[in-house]
Amino acid sequence: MWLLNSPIGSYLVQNIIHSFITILIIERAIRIWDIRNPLALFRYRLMTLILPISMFPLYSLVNQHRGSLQFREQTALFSMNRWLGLELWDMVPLRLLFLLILGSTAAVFFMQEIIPIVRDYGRKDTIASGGQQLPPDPAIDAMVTELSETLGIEKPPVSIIKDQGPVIVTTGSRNHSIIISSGLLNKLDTEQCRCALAHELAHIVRRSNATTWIVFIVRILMFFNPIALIVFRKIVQDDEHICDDITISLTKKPQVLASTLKVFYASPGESKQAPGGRIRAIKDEIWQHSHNLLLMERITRLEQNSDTAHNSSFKWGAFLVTISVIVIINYFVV
Amino acid sequence: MKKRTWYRVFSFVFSVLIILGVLKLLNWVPLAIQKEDLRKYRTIEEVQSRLQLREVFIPSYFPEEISWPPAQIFGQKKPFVLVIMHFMQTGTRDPVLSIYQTDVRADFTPPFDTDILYKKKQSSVFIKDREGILETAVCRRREICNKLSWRNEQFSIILLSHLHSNELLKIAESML
Repeated sequence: MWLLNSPIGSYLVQNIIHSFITILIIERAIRIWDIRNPLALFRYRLMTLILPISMFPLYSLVNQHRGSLQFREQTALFSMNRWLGLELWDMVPLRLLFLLILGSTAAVFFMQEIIPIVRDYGRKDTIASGGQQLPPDPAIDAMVTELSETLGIEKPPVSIIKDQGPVIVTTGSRNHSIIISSGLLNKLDTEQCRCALAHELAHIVRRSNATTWIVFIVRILMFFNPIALIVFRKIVQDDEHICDDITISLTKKPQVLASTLKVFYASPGESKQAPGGRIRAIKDEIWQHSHNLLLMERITRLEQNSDTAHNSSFKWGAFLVTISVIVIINYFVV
Repeated sequence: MKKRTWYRVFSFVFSVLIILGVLKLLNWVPLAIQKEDLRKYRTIEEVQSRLQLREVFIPSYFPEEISWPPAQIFGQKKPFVLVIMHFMQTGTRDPVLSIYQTDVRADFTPPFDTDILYKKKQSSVFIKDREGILETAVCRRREICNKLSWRNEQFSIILLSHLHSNELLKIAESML
C-alpha cells in the first residue's frame, strides 16, 4: 500500500476527488447559468479534465505543507486519508477497494478507448492510402468548393472510395482531406450529402482532429480516473454539437442533417461480421450501442431544434467565478 | 442586476454551500465509524481514556516560553498507536515544541525530516539512564532545529523543537 502513501499516490487520490468535485460544480453551473451553447459547454467541460490534472502541483507550489498531518486534520475540508484508513468488517482495507477502482478504470480505458482509437486510426490510414479510389465526382467537388468558400477555408481534397459501408471521415491535423465511401453516396440525396460535407468541413474549421488529440493526451494522463472517462465522451459529443450547429448555419436545414445522421445510426456497421470470436462480437456490439446512443442524442437535438439556435455570447464572468470556486474548494480537499 | 440573475447567483451559492456541507459531513463519517483513527483531542486525559493508553509521556519541566497545556493534541490507535502534542510559544501562536509518542514497531517519520535543509550534527546522549539520539539541523526559514529521540520497550518518543538542545534534554528528562 506504499503507493497510496507516496506523493504519486496522493496525486492519484486527489486527482479523482478533485475531478468529482469539479464535475459536480461544473454540471451544476451549466444548469444554473443556463448554458446551452455547445462551444461554451465544451469550454466548461474541458475544465473538468484540465483542472484536476494541474491543481495538485499548483497547490504544492503554493503550500508545501498541504499534505501534512496538521493541514489534513486542522485546515482541510475533506481528507481522503480518513476513508482510505477504514477497514470493512475490520478485515478489508478500503484503500484496497480504491486501488481496485483505479485498476478497473485503467482496464476499461484501454479496452474501450485505446484499442478502438488505434483500430480507427489504422482504418483511416488504410482508407486514405489503400482503399480502392473511384474517379472524382464533379458535383461533390462543386459542393465542397462552395461550402469551403462560405466558411473561408481552402478547399480540402475529396476522395471517393469503393466501400459499401457508410463512411465519411476527415483525415489530417494540418493538411486535411475528406474521404467518402461510395456506399454512403448511394444512400444520401443531394441535400443530405451537402449536410454531411458541411459537417466534415466544420470539423476542419474547428481543427477538431488536433483538438481531440490534445484532449485525448490529457485523457491518457488520467487513464486511472473514472470521471475523466465520462467527461471525455461528453467533450467529444460537445464538439459534434458545435459542428452540427455550424452545419445548420450553412445549410439552414436541421431536419436534413438529422436524416443524414440516421443513415449512420441505422447501419449495423462491421461489428457483426467481425472475426475474433464471441467476446470480440460482444465488445463490438457494446461499442455500436454506445455509438448509436450518442448519434440518437444528436438526432433528437436536431429534430427538436433545441439549443441549436442558442448562440449567446460566452459569459466570462460566470465562467471565471465557477473556476475560482472549484480551485478554492479543491485546495481544502486532500 | 435582473431578478433572474439574482436567482441564478443565489442558486449557485446555495449549491456550493451544499457541496461544502456534504464534504464536511463526509470528512466526519470515518471518525464516527472508526473511533480509533487519527483525530484531534481537547485534553491529554481525553486521548488517554478514549484510546485506552496506559501511558502518555508528558514533560513536567517547561521553559517559561512554552505555554501549557498543548495547543493541539492528535491521537490514533490504528494502524499503530500515535500521540502528537504541539506546544506553542507563550503569548503567540507559533509552534515551539512537538512531541511524538508512537508504537516502537511502527514505521513512522515525523514531519521534522521533511523540513530539514541539512543536518549539522548527530550525537548520542543519555536521558537519565536511556540512550537517545540528538540531531541538530538547519530547517526551513534557516532556523536551527533539534530532534531528540529515544525508545523503551513499547514506545518511541521524538521531541522536535527550535529550543536549545540543553533545554530539550531537560524537557526529555522530565518525561521519565
